[in-house]
Amino acid sequence: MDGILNIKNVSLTYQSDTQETQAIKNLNLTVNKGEFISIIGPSGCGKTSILSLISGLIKPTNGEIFINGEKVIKPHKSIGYMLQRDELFPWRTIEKNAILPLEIKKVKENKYKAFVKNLLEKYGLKDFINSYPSEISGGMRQRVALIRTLASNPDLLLLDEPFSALDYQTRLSVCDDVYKIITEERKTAILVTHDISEALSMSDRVIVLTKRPATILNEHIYNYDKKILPLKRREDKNFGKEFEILWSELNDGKKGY
Amino acid sequence: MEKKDISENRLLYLKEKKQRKFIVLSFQIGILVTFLILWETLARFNIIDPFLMSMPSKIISTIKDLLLSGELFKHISTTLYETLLGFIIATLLGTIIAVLLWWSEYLRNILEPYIVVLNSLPKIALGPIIIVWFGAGTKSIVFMAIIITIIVTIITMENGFLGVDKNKIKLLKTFGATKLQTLTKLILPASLETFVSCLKINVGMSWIGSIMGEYLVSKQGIGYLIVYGGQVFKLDLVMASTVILCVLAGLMYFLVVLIEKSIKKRR
Repeated sequence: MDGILNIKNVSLTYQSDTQETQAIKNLNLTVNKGEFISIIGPSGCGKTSILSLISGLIKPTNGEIFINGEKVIKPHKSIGYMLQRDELFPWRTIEKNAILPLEIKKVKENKYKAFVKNLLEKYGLKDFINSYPSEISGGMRQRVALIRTLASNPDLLLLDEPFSALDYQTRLSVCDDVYKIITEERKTAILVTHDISEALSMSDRVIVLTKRPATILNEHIYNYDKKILPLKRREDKNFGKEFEILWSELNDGKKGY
Repeated sequence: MEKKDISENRLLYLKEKKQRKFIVLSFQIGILVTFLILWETLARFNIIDPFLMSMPSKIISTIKDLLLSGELFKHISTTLYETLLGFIIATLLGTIIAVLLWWSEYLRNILEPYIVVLNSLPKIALGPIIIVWFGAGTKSIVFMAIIITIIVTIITMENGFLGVDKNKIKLLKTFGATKLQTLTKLILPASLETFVSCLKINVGMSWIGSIMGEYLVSKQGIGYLIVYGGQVFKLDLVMASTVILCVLAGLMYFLVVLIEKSIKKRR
């Protein structure tokens, strides 16, 4: 078994008072170390559920998930999960927010705290370490959220539409920031999004899901230079063509298979 | 940009704001003064019966008499003690129970109908039972204050706890947080504002409880003075006690507002 993440034949069924819903059907996926992959699919197809499964927040109905060869049964220490909104706690300063995972995991060593502080300084938050979330911009908040995700030095990052709450301009620049941080810190990342160009501008590989119950419709591997930032990558001559391929595939996915 | 232009507009804005504040304050004082003068005059000229309605000057002299005889302090301290004790115990105990209800969904579901019924029940109906159980003394009065205040506390705090953003809870779960950590790192700090507004409600509730308790059983206290004054038709005493009550309750509320301000400043 190679790869940092192995998803094997995973299915997920939700139970509610009125009905039973199959969200994911026979999902198989291997993610290699250092890869940046995106998962796109029609809205409501269970993209977020996939991240919840990988992170161990929920259990698959069938199948197994392995991280570094270890079976996932509860929230795993080598995973960092970034949610749609920054979810910074308004009563904590930026630094205290960023070290929250260390507090929860009862990591006492100062080197981790220094690591977080270093990240904050490195990515333009030096002057805001003792500020409160309400005092900084949405883009900065999202950067803090990413650094918080990186605090416990996870191997695998799960990004659940982390830019969807931002306005378009901020979104593009935060996208660059996040990409830069993730590649510089040499992390593996899985991005879930409904924004095709966002997926295309950041990823080495894009997975297209069908509508619910979600399963993999197709996957595309790209060979963009990793050093080129997402915004710049949008200018690539093949970008428009790739976009259209994904677009039509997504629409086919909506119709069913 | 000319700094002068901005500051002129700003000055105008500040001036208007000040004026508004002044108008509100003058009306507030004006209403009170007019009311007192009207009351005093009408009573003096016997247009309203001063025996039934009392009058401001008599209220003041009654308070003065109470103060000089040393009675005032005794009554105030008695009621204040009962109210504060009821307030503190009910707030703490209510919050703890709310934490337990947040903690266990089972407990929450099981206890829900009981809390609903207790909330709807007029607590004064429990008066006779309370007297039999706790005797005709301070204990009964404090218990009355507690039971009136605690139900509201439980409901308010429980709603506050359950209203905390689910995504923030999810975030903590991804860090592998335990339930206790979720409580201390998120639920409690996030509910601080709810707690302060709960304190505000509880000021009123605990006064209702202690005065109601004193109506039922008491030998001293502001509530006792009111009931006693009513029984012997000393309306001056009733009115004077009510005024004292207004001042005390107002002060206690003001204290909570001060607490609220110091909390807001720290955030």
